[in-house]
Amino acid sequence: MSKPDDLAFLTTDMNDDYNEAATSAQAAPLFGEAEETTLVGKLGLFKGSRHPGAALFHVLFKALAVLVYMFSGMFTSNFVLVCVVCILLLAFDFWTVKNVSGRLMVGLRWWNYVKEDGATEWVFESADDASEISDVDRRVFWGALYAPAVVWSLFLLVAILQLKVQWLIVIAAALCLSGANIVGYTKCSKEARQRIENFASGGVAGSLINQVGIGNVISGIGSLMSKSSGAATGPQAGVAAV
Amino acid sequence: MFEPGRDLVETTLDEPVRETIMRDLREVGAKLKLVILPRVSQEGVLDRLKEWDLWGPLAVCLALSIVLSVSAPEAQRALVFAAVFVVVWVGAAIVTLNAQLLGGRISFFQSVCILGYSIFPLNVGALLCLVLHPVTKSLLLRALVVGVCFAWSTRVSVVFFGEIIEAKRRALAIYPVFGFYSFIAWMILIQK
Repeated sequence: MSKPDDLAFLTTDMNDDYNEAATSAQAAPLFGEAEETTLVGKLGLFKGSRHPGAALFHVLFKALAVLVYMFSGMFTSNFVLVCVVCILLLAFDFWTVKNVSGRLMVGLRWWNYVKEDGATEWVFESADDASEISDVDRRVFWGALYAPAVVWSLFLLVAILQLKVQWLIVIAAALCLSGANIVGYTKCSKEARQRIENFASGGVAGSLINQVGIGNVISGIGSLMSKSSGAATGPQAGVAAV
Repeated sequence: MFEPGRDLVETTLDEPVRETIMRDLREVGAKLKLVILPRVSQEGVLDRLKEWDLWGPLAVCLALSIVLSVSAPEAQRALVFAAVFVVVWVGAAIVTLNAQLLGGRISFFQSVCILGYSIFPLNVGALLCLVLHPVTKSLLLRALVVGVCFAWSTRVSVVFFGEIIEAKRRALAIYPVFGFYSFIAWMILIQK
């Protein structure tokens, strides 16, 4: 765990941060050096991404699960093996998205814990400095979050039409796991947007937010989200975790 | 400041990936240990199990499905695997919903987590039966192994469900827990 000093959430020197971010963004092309430092970055994958490694695994497990599901029949008739491999890949993907790629690629994270009375408390974290987030990362993240759900829905339709009942296990697992992440990040990004709006409507640094493009980032994400409005998430949810 | 309490919140946004993995693995290991090792006091056990995860249940469920499908006849392997997998998850969900409807103060996943981890002793039993099979065909011995594992499996869950449900409805909540584990135990017992 990091010390409070390291937190991106500290807001005491907010204005300075935004000024710095704004000027550095103008001075140099964003994310110039970060992509060169990792192995995946050196390979030239995900150009413009700040976290090519995270982006790779964000896409890799999803793609592998779909490919194994589609093409394993050509190589083996062992249902158990294929099923286990698929489910493990989907579980790894769920873990990667929930715990790693979300926080690195779009600065969001959702988790929940159980209170004394058995009620579930959702906690949504979001990085305050959205200028740290690369455009490529954001597109890859949200695209790869939604696309597999669509693909697996199609598989569901095909499996039902072909009466391949046993494969419904894999499809159900895929839809449950990707659905959980979609709901989690949808709520999370909605709350992040709300936090920014509260901040902006407070009259502080509203213009600075537009300057560094946070407004665009957040509304872009938000427009994706607005269709599926879940339970109300108060802005105090994060604080309640103390 | 727009959120004064914010800097007191333990954040996990910027931790290294290795730390994230290790924390989760340690959690799974600790919970498994809690379920396996008998304790005098259940107090700390239940508190620990409140931080749920589904990794343990997934691993336990896959392992059980694989062990039972290995011992099944060739033609029925897929069916057995699928059946065990579905029984574990759907069964856990039904037991949980039942407890919730009876007024239990428990989150859905928390309960599924505990039920899932508690299957582990039955896993050991299934593996033992598989190993014992070439040595002895004794049904009595197998029944003994499964019986001990069944008791071991139900212990944690029964205590947990007993605690979250008020006394007069307790039997109604615990009864399906027994049903759940006996069904799994029965599937282990009838394996060839």
